Amino acid sequence: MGIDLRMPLGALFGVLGLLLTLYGAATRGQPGTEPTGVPVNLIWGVVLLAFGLWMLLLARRARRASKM
Amino acid sequence: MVSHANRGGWVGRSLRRVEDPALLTGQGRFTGDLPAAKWVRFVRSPVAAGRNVRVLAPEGAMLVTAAEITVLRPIVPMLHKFKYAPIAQPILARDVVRFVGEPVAAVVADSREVAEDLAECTTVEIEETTPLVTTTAALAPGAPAVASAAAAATVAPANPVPERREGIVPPKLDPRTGEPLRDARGRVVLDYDLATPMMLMHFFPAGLLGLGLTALLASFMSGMAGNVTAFNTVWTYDLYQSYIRRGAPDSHYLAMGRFATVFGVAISIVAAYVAASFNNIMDFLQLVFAFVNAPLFATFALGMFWPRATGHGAFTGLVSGILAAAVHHGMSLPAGAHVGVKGGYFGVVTTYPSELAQTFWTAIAAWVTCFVVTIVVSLLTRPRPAEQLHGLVYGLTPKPTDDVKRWYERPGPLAVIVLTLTVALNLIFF
Repeated sequence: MGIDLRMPLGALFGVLGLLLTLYGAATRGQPGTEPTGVPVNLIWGVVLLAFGLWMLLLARRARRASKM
Repeated sequence: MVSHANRGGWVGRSLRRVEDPALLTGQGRFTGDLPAAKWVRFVRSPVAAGRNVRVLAPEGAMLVTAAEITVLRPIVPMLHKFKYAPIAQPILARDVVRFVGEPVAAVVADSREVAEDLAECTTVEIEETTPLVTTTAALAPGAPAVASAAAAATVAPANPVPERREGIVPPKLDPRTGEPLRDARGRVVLDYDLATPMMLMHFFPAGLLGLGLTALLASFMSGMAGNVTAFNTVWTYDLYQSYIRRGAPDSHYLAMGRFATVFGVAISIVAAYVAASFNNIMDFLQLVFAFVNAPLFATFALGMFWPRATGHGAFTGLVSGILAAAVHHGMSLPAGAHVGVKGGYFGVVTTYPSELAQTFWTAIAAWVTCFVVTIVVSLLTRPRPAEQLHGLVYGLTPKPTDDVKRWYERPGPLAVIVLTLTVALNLIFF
């Protein structure tokens, strides 16, 4: 059986999302971090993190279902 | 006679030196030996920041200060980076010094020793000011400017360029002079290749910017990888294996595929140099498409929808379509272009206002020629029996039905949604 692509995908997006969320939260409100007036680092970090976690969740579910 | 030279290589052999015959024979002449040559030593600033610089030279010293060399323009660095503002650096500091060791005067003397002594005897009076030690201090409000307005003004071009910007697309710069390029009508040429990078720079802060650049590079690499794979596959499988050498072992085809990869990448590097003579990559791509894709489109359309089309017709049509593109391209030229890769190599018969206009007419010539020639040759050659065309020609292929699927599984409704969204977004952001 091949590798479930959702695992590396979820890990990649999860790590990137976590990095971006932490960085966005740490630099919130500092000059130059919000050129459009929106905390875009934080928002995109959360979006990427959520997508990564969702992928990992789907992969876990599929693995459990195949074990049973 | 046995020569021992080869066995031991060059070790132990007397080698005849062939370089620099003048130096080897003692006939070299050096600037320092000229009777008129003088030695120069610089007097440097002992403080990191100061103003009202005054230089007091010892008696009889030949001293050059900034006030005497105003004809020499400051050195302006050239660096092609985004958002880079060049700051002119004076050859000798005048009135203001900005770092320890900044030259404020040059002492000229007959010998090195005298020049050094005179430089040491020269006194420099500087009214010391507070230096900026960190970037944070330099960026603080009310911090003194390191580069004065005068230094910045010397950087500005003598004849300021009238601004012509569309959104955030920057002007294209001449790689030799750093000045914006202009088209035949004197307008500034915009660099559309930088549209996406500039958009990233403009809207993305640090953090998301890295992710955006990574995504951009990843898409470049995957596009490149896909094209290289397609190139070596088409060459090795469809051409080499089918027509040039059949029945060779797999290792042979694998090696051929690898050679094709290297060759393909080499071609693309050469193509990059050709593409550099176009304003943007899209203009070049459209030209390639006019030669390759336009006639191919006619071939595909006829092959898919016209059962009477034959292989001979398709091949003749394709070749004549490409030739027609070459003939049209070779006999026309966009305004302001030179004969060469942009056309006119068969003699300029007509000119077009822009490269895209020329490219579109080239594509039209190629398509029409391929379409007509394919039909004519097909009608003159023997048709293929209908049973061989099942699955190839639209009219002879059973249509798949997708009534059973839900609406979001069918391409039709999805296509309508995408089209509606595209039109709506274009209307909103027009």
